[in-house]
Amino acid sequence: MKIKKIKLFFLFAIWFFLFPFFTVNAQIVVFPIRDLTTFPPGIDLKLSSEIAVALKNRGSIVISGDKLYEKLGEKGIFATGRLNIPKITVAYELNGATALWGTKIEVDKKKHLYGLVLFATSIPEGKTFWSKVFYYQPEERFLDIGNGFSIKEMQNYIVSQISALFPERMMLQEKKVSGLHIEHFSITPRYVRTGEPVSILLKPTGKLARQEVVIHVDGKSIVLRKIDGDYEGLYLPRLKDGKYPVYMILNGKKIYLDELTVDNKPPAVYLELKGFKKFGKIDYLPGKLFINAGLKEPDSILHWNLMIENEDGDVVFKKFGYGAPILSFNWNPLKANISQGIYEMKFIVTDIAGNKAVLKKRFYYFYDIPAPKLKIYRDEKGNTVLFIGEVKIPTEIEKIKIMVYSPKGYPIGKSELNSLPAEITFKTKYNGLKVRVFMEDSIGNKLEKIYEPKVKSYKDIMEERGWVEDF
Amino acid sequence: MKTSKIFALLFCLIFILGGCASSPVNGGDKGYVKIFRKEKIDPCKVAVMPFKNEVKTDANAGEKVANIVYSAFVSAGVDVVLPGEVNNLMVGRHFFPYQNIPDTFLLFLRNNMGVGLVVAGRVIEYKPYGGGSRYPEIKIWIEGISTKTGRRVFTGYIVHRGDDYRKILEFGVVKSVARLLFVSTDELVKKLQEAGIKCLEKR
Repeated sequence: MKIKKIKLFFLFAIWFFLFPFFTVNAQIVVFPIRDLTTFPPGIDLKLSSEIAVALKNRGSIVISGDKLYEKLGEKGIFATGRLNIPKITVAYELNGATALWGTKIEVDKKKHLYGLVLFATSIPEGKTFWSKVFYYQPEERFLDIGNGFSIKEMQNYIVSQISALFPERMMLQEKKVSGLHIEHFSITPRYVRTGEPVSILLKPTGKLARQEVVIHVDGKSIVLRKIDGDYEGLYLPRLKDGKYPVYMILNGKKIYLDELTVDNKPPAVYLELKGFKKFGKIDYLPGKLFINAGLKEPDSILHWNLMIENEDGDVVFKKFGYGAPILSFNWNPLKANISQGIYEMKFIVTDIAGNKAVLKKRFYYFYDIPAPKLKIYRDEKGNTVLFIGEVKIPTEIEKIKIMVYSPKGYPIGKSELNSLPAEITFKTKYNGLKVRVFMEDSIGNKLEKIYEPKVKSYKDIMEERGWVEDF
Repeated sequence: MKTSKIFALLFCLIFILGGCASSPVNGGDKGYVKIFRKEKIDPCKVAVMPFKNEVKTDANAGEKVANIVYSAFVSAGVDVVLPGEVNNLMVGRHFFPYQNIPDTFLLFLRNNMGVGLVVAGRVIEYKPYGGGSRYPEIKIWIEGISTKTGRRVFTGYIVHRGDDYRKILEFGVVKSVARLLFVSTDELVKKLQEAGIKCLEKR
């Protein structure tokens, strides 16, 4: 009896000590299978759960379904995407040893086709160590009889293959993440001016005991402190213009993290304008303006802005965009329906670091000399009166020549005026006349027009003016 | 006797017709996997970029092909960067499949992830099995870029159709695109190994 008891005790002891080694064996985390047979891509939950069940039946410990989705949801990770390090981290936190993931490539009910790629990735190293393409196609038989599976049959066939072939990694002891694994690193902004603060964020995988982490920018070390499990820090770059690698020294090895660009130079910009005429120091615009603008040197541009303002500061025309500007277009002030006056064009280009380049151009805008109003009528005494209305232009009118012809074209008379409005009185018997008006202003704008007015009677003109008398 | 003669004739006819079916219609352009330019390199880690999709009928063709190429490299024992990770890096650096890869991206892959070779490409044709004589068809352009020099190490072209593997009648014909891709990418990896892309041989 005693011997039996001792034997039993020993057996119990052996079972008790070896138990943990047997229990902690392969743990497969089954990520939902990505479905590429639909657009946009989705996930095939049914297939994933079937694979999980098949692996469970085989004897592996499987983590899948709600347990996995809850954990993914906690971290704010979509189950639909491709496998990446955050998902590996989730699998690690669930004590997984292998991540199963894959994509469904083809399903054809009519032609009896099914295709699937599966991968096995080690946790937490994130190395994909096994992969296989599973497919089903109808086996060719003589005379092609009795061929083809239904979708469910094909699926079952492939799932059974997976459960037979998927590798198992034994996990005899709990793993530890060696050193520091970086899940996420960011510098914002990546383009700065000297002296502007840069915030740095480093997220490690798992939980680390360290209170601070040191990174380097151009040989200068920056200490990141632990806040809520992540490492954060601020840095004021006192550096010259240029690109500086951001790195970290881990186990004597330089790990390149990102790049910081210091830029104090405003972008080199050009603005070419064609269509102006010069009058002394004034540029004036008689018609269309051809605008040509861009960068002299390549630069990373955030956005640009081209606008034309009037004297009150109201924007008459605006064009803007993101990225490097390439502008070449005609601007027609007549279509813009603007009044005459002084305008200013501004071209502002801002690069990513925040440096601005501003180009300005002031100009006058007026139309060509507008044609004046012209009337011919008879006065009280029976003389013919030629009336020429006023013309409003910013420049002065230097020459005004008027020639009067008979309806058949014989010259009757001509005169030169100094200013407008004006009246010329002469004698004719014609009821209609031809009048040629020629004007030139101080800049050289010219107007030449031939009028063919009818001579109005004294009564008509008086009525037009609003004087109604009894005749 | 008569019936036996008719049977014999029928048998002969089937044989003749069968012979017609087994001879490839276009003997000249049978599928191939070719590597055009090659430079010896020993990448111990590979990053497979998403493939550019030039197929109008299937919007996911690029990702499908990239997945199988990924699988082929994994099966050959090469360490490959996780596809989600490559995608994240691309999004962060604002560039799209089959565009010029920025220098900083290559530098990042080399220094931070130990990647030696970046594989990119585009899917020119991707036709699934359509029944009858329309066998699945693929045309893929693929290229490898060294992260050290930033130059192309190899360029290759995969052209295959389901009936390239025909033995006799319909036997041996590949109808599943997944299988066709699998077979041809396997061929590609073998050819790369032959061409002296070293680390693929190492394990």
